[in-house]
Amino acid sequence: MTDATQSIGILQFALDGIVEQQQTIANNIANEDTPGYQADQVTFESSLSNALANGGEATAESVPEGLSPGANGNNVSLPTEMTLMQENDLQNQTVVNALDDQFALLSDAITG
Amino acid sequence: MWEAIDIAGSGASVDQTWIDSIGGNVANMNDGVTPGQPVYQAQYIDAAAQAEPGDPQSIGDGYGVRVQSVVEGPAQGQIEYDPTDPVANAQGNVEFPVVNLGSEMTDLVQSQTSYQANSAVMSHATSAYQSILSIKA
Repeated sequence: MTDATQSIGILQFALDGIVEQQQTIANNIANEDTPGYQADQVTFESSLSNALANGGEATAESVPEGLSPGANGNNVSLPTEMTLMQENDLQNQTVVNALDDQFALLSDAITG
Repeated sequence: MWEAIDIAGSGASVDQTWIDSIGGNVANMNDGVTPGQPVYQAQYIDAAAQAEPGDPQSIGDGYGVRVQSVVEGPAQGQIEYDPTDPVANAQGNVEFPVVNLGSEMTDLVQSQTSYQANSAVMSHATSAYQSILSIKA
């Protein structure tokens, strides 16, 4: 059974990962036309679910997206980044709502 | 803080410089001169990823983009025969800058799309930061 502070810790880790993801997406889009630039992607989801299931530390890591590059060696796909940005928005809202709920529970418990 | 907004801002500012240079190239493409006189050289933007905000020396990945250098087009223009041009030389030749209107227009569309994408990132990042700021106990 996870208690409220544990849940908050997990959500905080997820929110950090989401913010890092958002920063990476922004960086990919800013370098959409930079010759030779390779797009990156931040993943933390599988590491987090693994840590929740089996214990241990969860980490967020940045890996190359690995799409095939165009004529100037750049492999940023604007449609891909726009899709990732929408997903990132929704994940952000979900985690923020969940954090709000956790704090509301705690607050109710404290004030009675 | 607000990294995503800074990063998108660096992208939009490179796009702005790019659009400015396209404007200059198109505006000057018909600047004929007497052959031998200095002719307008097209300006092209060379962008590079940056690792640190606002540091022109930082090369690498992680914090947006910057204009690395402005590359100039050929100093030697293309010669055209037009004896009616007031700047034509004794042989009736005029020298025009080397600017390819087709590729300038393509670049313009590309830079506008990129500017829009960066501006979309800014509004998304703003709403994301605002929702984080709204967390309260």
